[in-house]
Amino acid sequence: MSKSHSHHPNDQHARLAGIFFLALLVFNFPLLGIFGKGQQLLGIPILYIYIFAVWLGIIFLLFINVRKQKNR
Amino acid sequence: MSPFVIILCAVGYMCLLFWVAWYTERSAGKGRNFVNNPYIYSLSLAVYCTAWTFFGSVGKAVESGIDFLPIYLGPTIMAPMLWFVLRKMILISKSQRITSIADFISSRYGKSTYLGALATLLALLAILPYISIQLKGAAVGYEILRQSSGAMVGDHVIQNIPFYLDSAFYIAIALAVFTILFGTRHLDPNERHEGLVAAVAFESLLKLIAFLAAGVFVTFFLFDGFGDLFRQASQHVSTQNMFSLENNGTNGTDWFWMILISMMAVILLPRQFHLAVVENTDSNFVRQASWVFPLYLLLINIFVIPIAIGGLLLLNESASPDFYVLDLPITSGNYLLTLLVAIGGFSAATSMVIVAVIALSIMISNNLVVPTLLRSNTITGDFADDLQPRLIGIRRVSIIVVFFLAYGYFKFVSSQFTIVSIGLISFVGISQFAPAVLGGMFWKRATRKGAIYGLTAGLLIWTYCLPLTTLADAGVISSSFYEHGLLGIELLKPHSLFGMKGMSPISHGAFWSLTVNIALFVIVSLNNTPSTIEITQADLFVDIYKYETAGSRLGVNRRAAQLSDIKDLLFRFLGDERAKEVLQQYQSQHQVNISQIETANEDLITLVETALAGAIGSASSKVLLHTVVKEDPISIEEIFEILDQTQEILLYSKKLEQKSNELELTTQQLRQANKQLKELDQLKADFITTITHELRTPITSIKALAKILADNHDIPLPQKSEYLGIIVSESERISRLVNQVLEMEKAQRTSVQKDFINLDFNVLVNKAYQNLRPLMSSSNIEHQIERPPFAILVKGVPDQLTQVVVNLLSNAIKFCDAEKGTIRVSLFVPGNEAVLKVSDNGIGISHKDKVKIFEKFMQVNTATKGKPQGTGLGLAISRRIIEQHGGRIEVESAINQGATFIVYLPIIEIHTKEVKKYKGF
Repeated sequence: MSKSHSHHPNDQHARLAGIFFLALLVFNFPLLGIFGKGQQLLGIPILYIYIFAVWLGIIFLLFINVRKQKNR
Repeated sequence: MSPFVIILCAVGYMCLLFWVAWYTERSAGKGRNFVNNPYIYSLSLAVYCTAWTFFGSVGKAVESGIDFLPIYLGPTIMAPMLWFVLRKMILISKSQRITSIADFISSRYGKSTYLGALATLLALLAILPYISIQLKGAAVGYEILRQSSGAMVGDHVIQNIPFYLDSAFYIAIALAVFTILFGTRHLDPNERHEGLVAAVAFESLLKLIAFLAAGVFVTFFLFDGFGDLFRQASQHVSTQNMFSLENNGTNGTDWFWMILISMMAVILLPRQFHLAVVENTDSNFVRQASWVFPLYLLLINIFVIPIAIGGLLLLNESASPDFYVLDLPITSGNYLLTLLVAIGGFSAATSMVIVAVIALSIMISNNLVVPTLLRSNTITGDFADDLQPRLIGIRRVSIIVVFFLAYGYFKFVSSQFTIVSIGLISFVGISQFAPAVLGGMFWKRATRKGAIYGLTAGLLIWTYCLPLTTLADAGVISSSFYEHGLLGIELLKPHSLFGMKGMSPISHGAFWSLTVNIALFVIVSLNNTPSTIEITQADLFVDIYKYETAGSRLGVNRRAAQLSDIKDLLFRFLGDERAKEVLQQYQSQHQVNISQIETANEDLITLVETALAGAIGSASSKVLLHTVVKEDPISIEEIFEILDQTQEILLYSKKLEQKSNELELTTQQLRQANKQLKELDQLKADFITTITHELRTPITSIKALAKILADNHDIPLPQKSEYLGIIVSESERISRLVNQVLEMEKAQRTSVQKDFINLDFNVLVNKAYQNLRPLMSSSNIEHQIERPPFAILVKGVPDQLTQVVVNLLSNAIKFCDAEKGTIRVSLFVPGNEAVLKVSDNGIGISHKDKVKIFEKFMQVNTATKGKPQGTGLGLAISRRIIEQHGGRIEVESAINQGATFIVYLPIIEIHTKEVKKYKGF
């Protein structure tokens, strides 16, 4: 990452705030309600897949952010 | 399993924990602190996962599907915010030596004793039930192991036995002893316990491994993987609706409130605050923790649903869902796994209990007991010299009291409820801290009064809506207020205040307590003028980054005290060693000798107050100092003025610092230049001395010989011509010297690159070599040249470069072996510079002369050849010229090994065809 503007501390803060609101959105109703009707995907409840996949995604975003912050 | 084996395992495990703690502390003493690591830090945060997670989540999942999850999603949502919130908390707490959440609140609002006590009370009320469910987890776990089945262990079995037969009672005693050993061996002024952190991190790892092992066992051994497990679940009546949110009664409101309270709990719970803030060694660890901690939460939750399904499908209906995780391996007869899971559950329970109780004991001692004793003057009296043992004693007693209360609560109340239902009540209680703590960190206008009103209201509403109803449910108090409302008023029913229905008791209680809490906090703060100390503390908390850079020198207080009084306090509360350290710190920071002053000034008082705050809490520290310190009152207006100024001063001082840095740099450059000038001056003087000396020698001999010739007319002709010959050669020497001095001057004056032209260095070298060939042949010197077949283009002044080559060659001729001289010239281009080597086989140059020969008038003493030959300027001129051409000149030589002079010259390019015409050729 050579783009200098992405290393500004304010960008870091904006990114963190972005992850926060994203997590708040995806882990709450009404989004959660879409997957909570007992549907299945390949025999596995879609709600179970959704929550853990999204959870992992959020952790991944946090991890990426930490790496960027460190490289600064 | 026999009780003996189980107890042996438990004791063995405790010993292992002790060893971990002991080993860590010993290593830390030797300077290798394992705890100073972001991953250990993240693992220690996983103290969040207790028996509630380990046992209770499965119970909750059986009851209502994924409803157990918000408690872990909340912290995950909070994770990105940790950098703003938790890191700021750490910085504040470090600068103020804050050692508990109650102390944090007390310190923020003017070091208020009252708020500290209130916060301690709330923490105690909220955490006691929480500790009691850990006791339950450990005790029921023990019973299940003992009876090798979960089916027989109903909750009532435990409730109805007398306490002296109750395993939970002995577990509580054992844990109390363990906690005392862990947390109160000595009084650390910063409440740092590396051993404790290491033990907690170790337990976190263990409980994760144990739970994952149980999950893998259920999913892949009792079932054929996730597919099989979920297929069977969808066919069974008890499990098929687990993933339908509607059928489980999960709704957006309850879900949101659970997420909200867990977001707050993860930083405000006393044990979380203790490990995340007080025990933190580096605020930057928060970065790594922001992804490692959520990952931990994900891992420990991934098998909750499979274990719940497994338990529902495979276990007897009488088995308690809270303990499926232990029951499944035990009924399958897998004893090794059972033991691992039991130890995992035990570690989940013990880590929470130990840290929570240590945190509570710090609060009780610093915010309840010490202020009371101070007020009654029992510990400021003359009889107590060293107060450390008494402080430790207070801690120990409070630990025992907490365990006693927790056991009582377990016995009478929580044994009848599921683990999660009790835990959630604690969470709502703890979230009452949020307005005062978070508001206090980001909003300067928040006042002590606002915090007191908000916190008190929150505490009362929470108590009424939640813990009190569990007491009624458990039959401890009458349940009439519960069924008909307080005093028979319908609107005051604790689970539907003012007729608010359709929410779970938890979100209902959270809504009312937090709403009123926040409203009062804001409204009262806005209608209330803060006192001076509240304003200064508010500034310190909200603008911590400013103080971080400027240090603690922005204080606004004007206080003074007798040094002897201050010292007395310091020694009695901190002990000799630590007190001396503090005084030493002051002396070195302010460059004063403490034995020479009598009055302690503001700086010293602040330092002592902060140091004491670490040991007895900020409120107690303030009260204590108040007894010996005279304060110069300061008006509110003045304070605001000073605080506003601090920001400007900070900016100004930053600018000033920058300026002074620049100034220093300039001074340094000037000094350097001055030094160079002086050296040059010295060189010039030396030069003139040497040159006059050099000129005088031949002039003297010319003068002497001329005088002889003038005075004596009868000198024979051969002698006359010999004298004249000497006169001629000496005159030539003078003119040569003068020429070279002029050349030297010219070389120094040549403005770089102005006179440069492109030229072929190859041709130039060859031409110079060919010119000197006759001389070499006549002196019987064997000579050869080696050069590439292409043109080597360089930028330079042809005359000067030719002079360099001629200089080197004539030096070689001069110094090569008198009888069998050899001179080799080679020119090649290894990279982007031309390399010219001129070697002779003469007497060589000693190592220490190698540098000197390039200096002016430096001649190597040639004992064999007598008088030095040449002027001593040749090499100096050559070096000067080569350096002006951007190259360098070196010599490789040793005594009697001959010498090789090497010239490196940057080139423009090389041409395979010779470049014919250049100016000067």
